[in-house]
Amino acid sequence: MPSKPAAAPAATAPRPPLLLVRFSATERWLHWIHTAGFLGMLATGLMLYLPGLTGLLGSRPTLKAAHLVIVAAWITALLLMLILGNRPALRSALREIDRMDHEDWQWLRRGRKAAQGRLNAGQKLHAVIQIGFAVLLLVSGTLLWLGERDHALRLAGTITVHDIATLLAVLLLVGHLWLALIWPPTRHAMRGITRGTVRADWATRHHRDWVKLATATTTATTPSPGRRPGRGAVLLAVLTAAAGTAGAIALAADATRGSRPGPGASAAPAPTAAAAQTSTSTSSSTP
Amino acid sequence: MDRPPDPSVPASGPGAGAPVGRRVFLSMMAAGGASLVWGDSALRTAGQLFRPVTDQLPAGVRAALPAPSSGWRIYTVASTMPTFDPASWRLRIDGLVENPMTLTYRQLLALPQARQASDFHCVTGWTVSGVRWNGVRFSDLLAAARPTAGATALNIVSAETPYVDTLTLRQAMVADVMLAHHMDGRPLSRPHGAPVRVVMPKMYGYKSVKWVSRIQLVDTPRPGYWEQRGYDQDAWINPADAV
Repeated sequence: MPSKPAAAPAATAPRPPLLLVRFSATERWLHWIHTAGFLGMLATGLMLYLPGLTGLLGSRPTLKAAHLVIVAAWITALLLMLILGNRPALRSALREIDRMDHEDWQWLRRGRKAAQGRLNAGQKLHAVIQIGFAVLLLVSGTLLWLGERDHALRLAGTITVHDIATLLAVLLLVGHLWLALIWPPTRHAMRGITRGTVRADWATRHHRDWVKLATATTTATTPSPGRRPGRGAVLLAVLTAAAGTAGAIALAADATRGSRPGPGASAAPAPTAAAAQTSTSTSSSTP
Repeated sequence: MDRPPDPSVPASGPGAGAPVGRRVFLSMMAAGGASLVWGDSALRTAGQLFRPVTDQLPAGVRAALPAPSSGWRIYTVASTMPTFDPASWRLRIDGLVENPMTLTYRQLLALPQARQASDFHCVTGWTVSGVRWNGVRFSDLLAAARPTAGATALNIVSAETPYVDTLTLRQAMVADVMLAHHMDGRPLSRPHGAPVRVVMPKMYGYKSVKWVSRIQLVDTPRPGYWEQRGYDQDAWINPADAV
């Protein structure tokens, strides 16, 4: 099983190991942070958006607060990974998804025969497009939030961008899940993103060029395990975590502010009291 | 059909090839940025084109489709919309009033009439700007019934059971609140609440009850249909407007 001699370029090359490290711990963490954030925002977002799902899990202000808190947690966790994680590995992964070589075009045009690197052309494009949708969702979501405070920032297409980006990202996700969980030839890839390693024989079938490279330079994609973040990075991480937590609390307080159970007839003393509560918020509405 | 090799980069291997990823990403940003401005009209055009298909879908699926943020979306809570028969329709005004009464459609039209153009904002994010309404102000509507001193709120009951919502008497007297019977120059259509609906432009649309059949004056506001499901009782779009 482990020996597929055809893959070895020269007699001096070491025997292919049974398992190859495909994804660094940083990459895996980023993947699962994004997964958790996306699914959390999707679930709360759908309950806010679809009248049919209203009341399934708490009141509207609670759901809105949850949606915004998940956003804050997601951004904070992603930033923490960028600060504390293996940045060289991320830089090379970014370069990898950016570039499409001759074999990648062959793979896209002629089906799945062309030799592929660690990521095939479809995976590269999927990664780039999902990053694009994440940015568009964050920008349009921020505009929705700001538009509630300043009506000048209500743009005609904000909701459209948020809706369409959600719909298309979900469609891509369905395909991604199908390949990762159901389709037998590709299902093994799940091991790579959960445990980091994949079987060499599977990798040889799907990522021949990468196997050649990985077995020639055995540590090419192996994360350096002894790497520790410097003191500056740790300080920055602590500050980021604190800012993220403060942001999440401010967003939650702001989103649930409208749900005060006050009598409608009283002349609205509540907004000023609530504004004092959320003084940490970066932009609170004018009472 | 194959792209000419770029001599500056190796033809294959990690990091080789054209920077396609960043082009895809930047195109998405450009398309998304442009859509912030014109995406709504594009979506409206697409929505018209696909109308024959989308109209066949069940309501729950239709609500999940991206729809223009301008333009009406019709939400209902019952399986069928109430029907309006001008001859038999009655609006009942009762509760804490000195003179409980029922109005026919003709009597309603005989009351002092008001008109306005106002924006309609839904809590799920869509907006219809500059809707022209004709209707009756609540002060004129309630004048003959004469609310008692203890009456502080209106319990507004829809013919679409069990939809109901509430406005305080003060809120109902805000300048641009009305019980509308015409929209954009025509009698209210059935999906828009024929024959009469509340129009409360400063609050999200779920306060603007459609198919109004009864207005009951009460001493404390009762939570409406959506408020029983967690929505704000005071659905002010701009908190500064709150009364």
